[in-house]
This record gives sequence, structure tokens and C-alpha cells, in this order.
Amino acid sequence: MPLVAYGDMLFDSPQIFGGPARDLGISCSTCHNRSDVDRDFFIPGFSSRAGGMNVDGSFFNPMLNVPVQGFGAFDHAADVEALRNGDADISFMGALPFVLAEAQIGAEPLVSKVYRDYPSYAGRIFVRRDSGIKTLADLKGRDIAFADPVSESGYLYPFDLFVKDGLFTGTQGAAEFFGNSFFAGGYQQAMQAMANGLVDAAGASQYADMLLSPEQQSNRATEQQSNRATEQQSKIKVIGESVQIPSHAIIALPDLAAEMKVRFTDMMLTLNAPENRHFLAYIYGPDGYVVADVAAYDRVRDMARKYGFLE
Amino acid sequence: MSKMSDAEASAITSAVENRDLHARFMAATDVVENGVLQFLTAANDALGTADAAQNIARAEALYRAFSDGIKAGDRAGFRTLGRAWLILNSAVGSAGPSQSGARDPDREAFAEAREVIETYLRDDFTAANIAPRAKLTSVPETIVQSGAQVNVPVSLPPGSDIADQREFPRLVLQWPR
Repeated sequence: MPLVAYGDMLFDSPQIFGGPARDLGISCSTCHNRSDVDRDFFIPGFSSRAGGMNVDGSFFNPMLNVPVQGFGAFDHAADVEALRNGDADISFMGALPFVLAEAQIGAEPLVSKVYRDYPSYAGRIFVRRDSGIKTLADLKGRDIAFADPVSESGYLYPFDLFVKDGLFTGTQGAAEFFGNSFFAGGYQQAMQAMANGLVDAAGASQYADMLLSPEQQSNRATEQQSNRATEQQSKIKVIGESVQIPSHAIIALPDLAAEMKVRFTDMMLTLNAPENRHFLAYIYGPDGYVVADVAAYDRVRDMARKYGFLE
Repeated sequence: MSKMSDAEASAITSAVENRDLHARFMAATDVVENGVLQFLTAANDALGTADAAQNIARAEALYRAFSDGIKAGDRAGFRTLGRAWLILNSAVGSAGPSQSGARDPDREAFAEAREVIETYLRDDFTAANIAPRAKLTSVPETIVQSGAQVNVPVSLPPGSDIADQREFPRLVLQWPR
């Protein structure tokens, strides 16, 4: 009986929720009168079904204590514009869009994703193993698909591999070097175009081979290159790999309250705790998050200047 | 599916209710084909903006419903269409993030590639042109009519990892009232 009473008390108490809910006097019984489900209750973004809402989400999360609304932008350009226009305070984006946002609106990186123990990754040039292509120079007169023109690992860094090898200089030189050069619309499309024989090579993230079909992957080349037998079974291979690129980061507007930046960063870092790691699959699926290193972006800034994205 | 008309929805609903597999196949084929065509039109109307690339992505996602059958039955057509999608994506243009990396659309290349895709789909995936077939696969009608025996292999979507049996992240659906 005391347990039932205690349960009723909690059911009627706003104190078990975060600040905004407490301020509004929201309790369990607000929406569930004596445990009945109000089928008309629905808050877009917080309700997964009529009559309920996700009370462990950010709205009620005592670590933030502010309502948070999430948006899915189609591309990084839209992310930057959302920040510029004040439609978003925080955004997930890659290193190149970040340095552009930094230059244009003073955006700051808060935390970076961890991929396989490192907050960095590389761009690669992939080809089919049966193509006979062994070097970047072998791609002269052949076709290549990059992911997207505003992508560090899906364009800029793979492109720069050819420049560093002295095969061409700028985009005009690339047009003369390659048979055809495409922007496929994403990592997956570029890799599929290469794997299906539509083009001879793909420039994409080192992890983009995960976007092949299981049959196309058949023992991926990446991550397993030390295993010669496995590599020989793979249907694709890597003929070029860039220097390391800072991983995708979560960035904030400069005028976001300092306290909020700290709280947000702390909250994201709690995802590394063993009891919270399963949440990572819900947040872009990295292996963890670390505090962002602003200096790590120096080479990205240099690269952006080299190719005219920054002055 | 956001482009599905009331008539198309009605055709699918009716086929499902009547447990008519062939009618359902025809109705679904029409919906997918029309969806691709409508998203291509929307992309054309939005060339040079982010909306254009988004509409191309949606059109290409719908095209995936046909691509395995095309690949299995018409390898040359699969290559022609695949290259056309690459040209569309490359020709779409972009304002870039705040004008950095902005690219002008190539309207002529876009129109030519769009014509290639639209012609193929109209010829081979318009339900009115499809004769009753024994196997309800996405093999193009022209190939089926030729009498070629085509086996469409079972395939998983790109990015699938059969060894990864973790539960998918829960999707939060924002149903409108």
C-alpha cells in the first residue's frame, strides 16, 4: 500500500521531470488521467505515437533543462544556412562545412565523433579489383564519381591526392585528366556507381565501403588490409588514401550561452559511458564522442583556401 | 510516396483488399514510376537550389525499386540509366554553403539525362503497357516480352550488414493530426 501511494504521488508530481516540465506543472497524470491514455495527446517530435511522449528525451533531460527540437537537413549547406539564419543553435556537420561556418558566422566545434578509436578518418580512391587499375595515374582518361562537391572526404581530399601526385592541378586539369568526373550525390551513390561498373573509381570516405551491398562487399578491403587472403577475396581495393581528416563534429553558434555549451558537451560525453553507449546508435552511430580540438582543423582550413572555399 | 494521388492510393487499397496480386503489382509499379517522374519534374523546376538535389535523391530512391530488375534483365540499359543518374546529380547545381563552392546547374545535360530516364520508365514501367506476367518482378517489360528468362537475384539494400542483428534505432514518427 505505501508503494502504491508513493507511485500515485510520483504520478502526480512534476518534480520527477526536468525544469521546463516542472515550470509548466506537467506530470504523468497531465497526459494520463489515472493511467488512462489520452489518444488526442501528441507532441510532434516528442511523441512516438498518439497518447505518449518520450520522457527520457532532451525535453525532460535534467542535463539540459531546455526544450530541444531536432531537424534533419538535407545537406551541409542547409546546416550552415540554418545556423546563419538562427534557425538552429547546434548542428552536426563535417570538417569542411564547419570551417566555412566558422569563417562566416564564427561557429565553434564542441565535440567530435570517434571512429574506430580516432576522431579522424581519411578519404580514399576505390576501384574494382578486376579493373586492372593499380595507381592514380592509371585513371587517366577513365571515369570517376565523387560523392558531393562540398565534401571533404567525398571530394576535396581524394581530389587532392591526384594534385599531390602531380597528375593535374585545378578543376580544369581534372577535366582534362579524367574521361568523365561526376558528383554522384553521396558516398553510397559514388560507391555503387564504381561497384556496378558505371565508373572506374570512386572518391569517398574510408568507411564508404560499408555502403556497398553485402554481395559487393564480400570481405571489405578496408580495416582488413593486413589480412592478405581477405584482401584478395575483396571485390574492391583502395589505390589512394588521404591524410587524416578531423571527424564530423557537433558545432554551436558563438552566441549560444557558454553554460549551455558546457552542459551540451558534458551530456554528449556521457554517451561514452558503458551504460549509455547503446544510445550512440541513435545519434549518427559513431563509436563515441570527444571534446573537439580546434587546432585539428588547421589543415582543413588550408585545404579550403587551396581550393577556393575560403579566402 | 508523398506524390501518390488519391486514384493511385485507391488502386493499391482496392488491390490489397481484393488480394489481387497482379493488380497490386500494377498499381505499385505505376505509383513508383509516377513518383520518379514527378520528383524529376520538381528537381528540374528547382535547378540550382538545394531542393533540386533533394528531389533527385528522392527520385533515385524510388528508382531503386526497379534497378535490380533492370540490372538483371537489361545490363546495357542499367548502365545507360546509371550514367544518366550520375549526370543528373552532377548537373543539378548548388548554391553551396553560403555561396562557398557554389556550382551553376547544367540545364542542357540535366534535360538530356532526364529524357533518358523518363523514356525508359515510360516504355518499360507504365502499368498500362505491361502485359500479365508470371513472375511479378521488376524486369523491364521489353525484356519480358522478348521471352528472355531472367532471374532477379535476391538482394539486400546497399549498406546492409547481415551480421549486424542489432535492433534498429527507434524511429519517432511525426504523424500530422
